[in-house]
Amino acid sequence: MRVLRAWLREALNPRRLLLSVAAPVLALLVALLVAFLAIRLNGNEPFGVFSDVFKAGIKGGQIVRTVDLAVPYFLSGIAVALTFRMGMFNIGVEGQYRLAALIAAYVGAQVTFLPAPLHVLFIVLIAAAAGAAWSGIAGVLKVYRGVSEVISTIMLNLIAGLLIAYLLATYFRDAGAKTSSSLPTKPIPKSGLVPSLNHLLKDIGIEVPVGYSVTGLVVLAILVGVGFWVLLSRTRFGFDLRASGLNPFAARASGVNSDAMIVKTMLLSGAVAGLVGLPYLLDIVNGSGNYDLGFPQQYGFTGIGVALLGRNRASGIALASVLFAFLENASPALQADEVPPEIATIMEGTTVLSVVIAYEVVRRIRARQQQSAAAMIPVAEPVKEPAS
Amino acid sequence: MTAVLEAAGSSGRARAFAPRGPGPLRSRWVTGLVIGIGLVALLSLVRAATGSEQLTSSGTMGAALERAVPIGLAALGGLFAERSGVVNIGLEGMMILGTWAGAWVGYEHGPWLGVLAGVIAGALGGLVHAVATVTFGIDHIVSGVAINLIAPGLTRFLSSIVFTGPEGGTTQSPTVKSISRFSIPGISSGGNALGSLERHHWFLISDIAGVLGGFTGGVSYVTLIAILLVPVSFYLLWRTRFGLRLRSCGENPEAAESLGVKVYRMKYAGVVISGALAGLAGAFLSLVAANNYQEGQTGGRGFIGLATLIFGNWRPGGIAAGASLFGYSDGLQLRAGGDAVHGLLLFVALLLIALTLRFGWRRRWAQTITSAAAAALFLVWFARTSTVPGTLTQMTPYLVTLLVLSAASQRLRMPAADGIPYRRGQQL
Repeated sequence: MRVLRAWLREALNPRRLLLSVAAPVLALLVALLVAFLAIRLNGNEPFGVFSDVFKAGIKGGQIVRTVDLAVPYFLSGIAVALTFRMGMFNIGVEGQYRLAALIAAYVGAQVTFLPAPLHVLFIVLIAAAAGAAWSGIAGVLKVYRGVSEVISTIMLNLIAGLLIAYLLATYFRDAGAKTSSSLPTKPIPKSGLVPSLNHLLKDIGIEVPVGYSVTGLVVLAILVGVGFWVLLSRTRFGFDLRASGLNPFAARASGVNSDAMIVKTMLLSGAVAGLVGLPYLLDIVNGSGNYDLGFPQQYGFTGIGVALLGRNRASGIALASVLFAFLENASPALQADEVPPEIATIMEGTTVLSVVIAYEVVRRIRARQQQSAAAMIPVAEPVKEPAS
Repeated sequence: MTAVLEAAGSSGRARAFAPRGPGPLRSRWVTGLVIGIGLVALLSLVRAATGSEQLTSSGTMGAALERAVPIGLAALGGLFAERSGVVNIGLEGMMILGTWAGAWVGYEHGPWLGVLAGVIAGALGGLVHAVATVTFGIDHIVSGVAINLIAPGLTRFLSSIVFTGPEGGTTQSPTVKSISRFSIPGISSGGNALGSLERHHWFLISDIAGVLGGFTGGVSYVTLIAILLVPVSFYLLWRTRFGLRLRSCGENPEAAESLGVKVYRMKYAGVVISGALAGLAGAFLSLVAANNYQEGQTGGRGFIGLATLIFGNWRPGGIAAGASLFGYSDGLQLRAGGDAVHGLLLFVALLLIALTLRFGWRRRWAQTITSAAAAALFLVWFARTSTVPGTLTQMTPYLVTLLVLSAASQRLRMPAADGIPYRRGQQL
């Protein structure tokens, strides 16, 4: 009981609480300030625009769109966070998900004999395997040749983009397609697509506005999120992973095989990255059902921002992905006010930069407080999270 | 004292990319020239064998030069940052800022001021990176990624405000007056001695004439500046006090600080110069290679610059070699298409055979077998196909970088404290 009370007192210590929320709040304020200035520059009244965007954003349909877009952002954020927690940096989610989506779309369209749920599962597995294979290259290069995964995943991103263009132009495109300029692959049969959640939501009393659909892949995102949490905080593997991230030397000394950890983490991260393109590919209502040159890009880089803003925790990443999706979906409201919608992109980038800076500043303040609290005892620096 | 100087100095004398080992500067120049002529001779052989005259034509060489310049400038930008210990993934974003500012000011006030504006815009991008990484000490990669996210959004936003007119718009600027170019009269224009030599298609002579013709005919003054920046960077970094201090911050900042080097200031200088060079690369794209700003104009060249930096082993000479290589493959593809690039497969195969012989001579059997197998692979590839797809040519820099990193990482030596956040008065 006493322990609990002490813990509560510590957790609710106003100063501590303030510090822990200070960083994200500060970062958002900076981003808002930048947006404010940009809107001013454009000759609009910033507060009017903010309130318009907010009002448009909390309308039912817009919420649904935000949730739908948050799904790939969330998956991408988880993929990046997995490597961050291990002290690595997978910038290659971009290439991994695009290549995986292409391969999943191509293979998924060839298979016609599987019943609906199995077909979907098959495509999901193919996508995960393709993503893992591509990121595995970086893991293997790091372990066997000492190549920094940052450089190799950047190169692999660029190679993937060109490889996709090549494969679409030669082997993977659907020769019978009517609009062939965008080089689409063959459409995946209906059994491979994921139904909307609208009916399910209706049964539990949530009415989705007409013309909108909550993607069924929310389920996938939830599964991945829970899996991420369980893996990291409830398994031996997750413990080893975090230990390697916090102090690689201590981890190795206590018997963690760091080479194997590197490869496994890269494979796992790539497998999750492989799923990032699926919401766009497989959703039965708003999905494309095939891959072409217009397949959405940049989810991988957005994921880095999401992971950083969400502090590499599943719950934080969920919040951050919703926020980014909200900003991204603000375009129509911004355009209605004749503000260039790129403000949303600028805000995202600014948030990433300022949130990392804010966390660093808070970390320094904390370190100073601890030092002054225990001035006599030499206090070890709190171990820094990688890339924060 | 000696430790840092030693560290910085030894890296200064460490091997350039040419695997010759350290030596006095002049002999390295000679070696470089001999290797260069040897490569042209080999190309000449390939030209004779395949009959694709474009391989060494002055047109191709001119295009290659124009393609190599932005890559090389970006790589030099990376060099200044990484030598001061800050990894700059944001090169691409700073280049984007340079393309935009160059075209904007160029349109309003003439192209030369545009170039200056591009440099300043890139330097501002560098300043942001420096504030984030040096003052606040955040992860260099994260800051670079953020800059790469912000830059395209920012330029697009500014374009939609500034470039409103019949020609301009959200994704492009109006046409900018072009920057003057020069040719040397009598040699590459007027009498055009090189051109007539080139037309004879003599072995080696015509090829060298083609190379010289491409490098002296219709060359932009900005290109000239860019080429001069390679020796200037070398001089600045390896022959001046400033350069020694800057490099010592990339090797061992704690020791440098203890010797009175203002590490933060040096790192700021390195990163801002880095941004300025990337901005110049961007301005080159929008003012010399094209006549206006277009969205996506950089096309990943910032990353190719990063690749070139690694390929060039964090040395100006190596960067020049890498930029030439990547610029050449790109320019050839642009100018003559996949059929001419196909000839390069034979070129690579011949190079690999030469390498095989060398390894065999030295009795390094494992390497002999590997390079022989690779040579055979390229020969088969050459024989079985008639063209190389453009996407593959574009992939070359990235593939080569991965190969170099994984095969020759023993030879590569990046600055020892590269990418490690540094805080004054703190032992890591």
